[in-house]
Amino acid sequence: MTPFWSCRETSRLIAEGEPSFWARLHLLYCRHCRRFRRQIRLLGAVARRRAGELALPDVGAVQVRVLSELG
Amino acid sequence: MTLEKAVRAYTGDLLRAAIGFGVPPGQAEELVAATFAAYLAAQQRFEGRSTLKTYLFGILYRKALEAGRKAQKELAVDPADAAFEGRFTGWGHWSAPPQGPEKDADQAEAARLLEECLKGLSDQQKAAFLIKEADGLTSEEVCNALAVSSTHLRVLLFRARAKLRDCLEGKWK
Repeated sequence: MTPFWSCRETSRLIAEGEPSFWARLHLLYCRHCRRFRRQIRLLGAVARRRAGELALPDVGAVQVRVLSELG
Repeated sequence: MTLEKAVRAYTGDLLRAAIGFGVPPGQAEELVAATFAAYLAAQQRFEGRSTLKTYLFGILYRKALEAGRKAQKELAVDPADAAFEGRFTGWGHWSAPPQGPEKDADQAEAARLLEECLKGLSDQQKAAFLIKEADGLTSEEVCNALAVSSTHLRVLLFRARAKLRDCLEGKWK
């Protein structure tokens, strides 16, 4: 059992996406947990960048095909 | 919303989600067509409790998971849990503080590494992470789309992010 304001609990809550008041308070004085949070945020930014760079088929052609099949 | 309007509005987003999940482009087109077909069949039952986008994403991801028979139940214990616990002392302080990239990292390089690291996730973890981060749905919408509880979603996101962070940390040298 570790304190709820420990690095372990803080970083777990950050990774879950729902840091509590105590976790946010902990971040004020813990550089390692702040670094952990920045890395988790980086993951999100990189995932969005990756999605934007995916090579898609011709969307218009797919729309026409779907509508002709289902319309 | 009519089928035509839905197709015009969401085909691009659904294709992007399918391909981002790892479905080959040809099959992604089939999956998107099947998603709209399922929507058309169940249109009367769509009660508007979620947005149409959430509803369509839910159909798409569930079909993607089912297609590969990959909708396994999330394990009670995942290797990510032990790896995470191993980073801390008994008192909960970092014994192995985080290393590796941060916000000013080369995002193009990080995106390339992320592609490799995504292979280490279970399909449910990958779906939860991508639908939340890349597709931009809220936690509540992700729960609706994937038909999981908020507790289950937190577990999926924790494991996905912990694995991806560890993987990037290991590769970023």
